[in-house]
Amino acid sequence: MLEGLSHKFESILKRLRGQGVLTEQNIGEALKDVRMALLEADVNFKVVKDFIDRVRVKAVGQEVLQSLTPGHQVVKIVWDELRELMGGAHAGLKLASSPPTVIMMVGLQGAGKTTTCGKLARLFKKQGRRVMLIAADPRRPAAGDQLASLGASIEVSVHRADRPAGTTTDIAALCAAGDCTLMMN
Amino acid sequence: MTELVQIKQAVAPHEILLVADAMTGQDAVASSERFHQRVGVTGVILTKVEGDARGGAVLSIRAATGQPVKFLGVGEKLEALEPFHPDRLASRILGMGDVLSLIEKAQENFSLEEAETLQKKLASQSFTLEDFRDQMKQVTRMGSMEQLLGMLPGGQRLKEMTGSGVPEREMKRVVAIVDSMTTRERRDHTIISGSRKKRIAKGSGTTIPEVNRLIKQYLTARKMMKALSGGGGKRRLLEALRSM
Ligand SMILES: Nc1nc2c(ncn2[C@@H]2O[C@H](COP(=O)(O)OP(=O)(O)OP(=O)(O)O)[C@@H](O)[C@H]2O)c(=O)[nH]1
Ligand SMILES: [Mg+2]
Repeated sequence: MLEGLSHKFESILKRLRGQGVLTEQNIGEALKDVRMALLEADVNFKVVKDFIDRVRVKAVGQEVLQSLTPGHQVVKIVWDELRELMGGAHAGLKLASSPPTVIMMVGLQGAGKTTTCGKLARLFKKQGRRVMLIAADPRRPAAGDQLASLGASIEVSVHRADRPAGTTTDIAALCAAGDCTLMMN
Repeated sequence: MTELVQIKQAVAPHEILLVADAMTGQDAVASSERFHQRVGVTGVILTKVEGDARGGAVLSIRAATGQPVKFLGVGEKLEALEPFHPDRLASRILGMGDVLSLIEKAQENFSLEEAETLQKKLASQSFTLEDFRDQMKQVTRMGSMEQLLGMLPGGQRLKEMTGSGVPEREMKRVVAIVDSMTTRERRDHTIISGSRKKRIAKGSGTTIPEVNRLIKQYLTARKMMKALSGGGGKRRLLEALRSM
């Protein structure tokens, strides 16, 4: 996972750390490499530009250049900014203060909705919650079948609300039950 | 999309999670933006991340949607779901490893009971070759060696050094050699003489040097684990891993 990117970063940063004295120029060169690595990783162009700008502003500050370990300081800045780029802190699921928690799953075809529903259901069940899965795609009955067999494999009940008519009211009624409900579209 | 909005209005979900395929890179990002604009999502789960060498979606999706990534799907199996920690992934990307996730994975996969039994065995010096083999098998339960190595500091380089697939083969070799021993040999490695080694090598389709190597590995493992089990376990394990 992320080997390609990680690989490039490792060698760029290794070079940076190896330099005793850092100048604006060699930071600039390293950032050019970072920029290329991110673009090759298919990171959004605008995102890359903002990222590089932020790192540059912090890295060429006097505290960094004159510190004993400028290379390491720059690595720390890159780490900070990467973390911020991905959201900063860990964000868990928001659960209802009184059950049931209803989670709706959406996404493009084939993205992994059904599988991920199964994964979350398994996780909740392990936590001791009563879980229910609801199939809610009226256009593809086969999707409901897939969810049903997935539910059976982890012993989680699956309800079908994927009939063409009356779907939303069916779902609303079903969601009121259970402790934690995952709904799939 | 209109149906999604209708359902959302009817049930008022606590979370609306967008599931997106990381392998599709910027397409995943663009479709997520669309979903967020039309339906309004509260979080993202990226899937198939284990097969994504590039990371474009993981790094752009937060900035594009403003919504947090909450989990990563890292395989087809139902246990292949990881909570998303930006700091840990940043460390992994920079080749600094993700030791915390590794420890959590271990804690999830080894029961407390197993850990306690192991502790007792180490304390009483009865950690045998049999236990060593079972340990190897348990490690494979945590995921592929490749995935695990990726979480170690400098793991990327380690992976190149060993070549992909080799650790798994090594694991199988260990199991085969131990399986070719008698119960007595497994419980007391000191009785394994030259002629016994010859028999074991033949039985497991390996060579005497390989049998010797395995015994050495076992003794090293026993020593390392003994050191780690002497209190402050987690911290010391962390230190040992960091120094690798
Ligand atoms: N490698 C890998 N495959 C995954 C992951 N998540 C899902 N898949 C696979 O992706 C394929 C599609 O997954 P589904 O869960 O059926 O996707 P879906 O979004 O429900 O698909 P539709 O209902 O057809 O829209 C299946 O083959 C899954 O096994 C993952 O994290 N890693
Ligand atoms: Mg599906």
